[in-house]
Amino acid sequence: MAWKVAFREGAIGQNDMKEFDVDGITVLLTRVGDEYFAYPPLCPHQEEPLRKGLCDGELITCFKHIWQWDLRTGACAGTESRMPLKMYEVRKTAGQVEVFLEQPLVYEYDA
Amino acid sequence: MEIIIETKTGPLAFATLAGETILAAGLRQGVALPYECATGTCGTCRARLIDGAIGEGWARAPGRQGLKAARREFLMCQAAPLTDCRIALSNSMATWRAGSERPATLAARVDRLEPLTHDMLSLVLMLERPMAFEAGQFALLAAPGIDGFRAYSMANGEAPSRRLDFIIKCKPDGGFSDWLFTRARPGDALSLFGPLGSAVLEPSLGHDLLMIVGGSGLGVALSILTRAAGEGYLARHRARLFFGVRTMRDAAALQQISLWRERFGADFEATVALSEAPAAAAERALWPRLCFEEGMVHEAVARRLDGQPRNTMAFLAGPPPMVDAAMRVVMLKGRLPPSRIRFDKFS
Repeated sequence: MAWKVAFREGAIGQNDMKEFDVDGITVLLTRVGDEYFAYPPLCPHQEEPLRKGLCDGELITCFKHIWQWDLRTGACAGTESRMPLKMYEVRKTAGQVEVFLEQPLVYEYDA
Repeated sequence: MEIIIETKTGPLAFATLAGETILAAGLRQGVALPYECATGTCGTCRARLIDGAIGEGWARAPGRQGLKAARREFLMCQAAPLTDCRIALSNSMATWRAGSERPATLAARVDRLEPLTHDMLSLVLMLERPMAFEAGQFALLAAPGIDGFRAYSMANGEAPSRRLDFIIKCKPDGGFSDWLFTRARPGDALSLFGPLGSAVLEPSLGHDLLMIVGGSGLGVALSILTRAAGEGYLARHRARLFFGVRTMRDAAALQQISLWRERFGADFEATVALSEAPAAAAERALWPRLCFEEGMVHEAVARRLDGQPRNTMAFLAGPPPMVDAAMRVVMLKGRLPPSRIRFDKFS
């Protein structure tokens, strides 16, 4: 129900995708320039860990079926993806990157 | 048994034969059930059992990991129904590509078995009747007395054909490959289910071809090149092959690849990437038409890819880490969109 510190600014490299445990919730973080973005860690399609895929500075790509999303908005990109990525709000305060966590964002895999 | 699939557009029914899996029965009858590996690894053919009883098949199938017991999820590629069943798919129905063959169960015999390298062999099967297939497709093979089916890509490209070629890698603890490497003889009977898979060459799309393969994934490239050469496709389009191996003793089929290079000249380029030991001068001299690179195959692709390949379809086949690394290169360096990448992970 609050902003939680996820990590220090600079703790991940450019275009890296890394999972962090934030108060018991696994969050996938990416960094592009000085901006940070946070998502649930699994692909909305078939629960593949997104960290095994690719972040190219514009898109996140899951390697299981090449689903792609705009990393800033989570919107579907490319030709394959059928469901958007959910995203956590992120802010920077005093050299820390914080994520707004109420409860884990989940996908309905049987929809 | 009768299977009823609940879909958004209403129920869909088909029958299974004794012992047949739900996936095989559906595909055989033209129901476009979602699947990829068809052998219990990928989890794409997950479904929910609403009503009825099934035998679950391979208990340690890796694809079982994501199944939700509370939802009575199971793998259609493993499950043979014990009663009539009502099920719902966890992934959406696939679409049947126009003109692609329905798979069938066929009797086959071992026609030839020849070593290709120290740990790969060439298996030639003769089917009871010709099978049509697309270059890049695979079939499931089962040997008498060995549980379950193994998936292997066809390595020949002429179709329809009674003869099917496969490249088999010897796997530690692999019951089927162990049988082939030690006990199988010409004339031995096998059962085959195929053709399967959608990572195929579609000549009508008219793309240049970029093939990146490792290990027995070579079979996919041989099939695509055979088909492309036979149809005159390579007279109109470029093809590039990158073949990743550890050392020269893993490099099979260089003779065939070199012949294509001779025949198609500059329109066909072949590079062998050696990750553990470079090719000796004498070996290079033996294959003057082939390029040799040191390092992993995706590194060789990154070095040799000149800008963004236009109008190109990439085919990636081999061990999963190789395919993932190659995918990074073709997306980042080649800027190929997902619709131009077809892949087959051999696990």
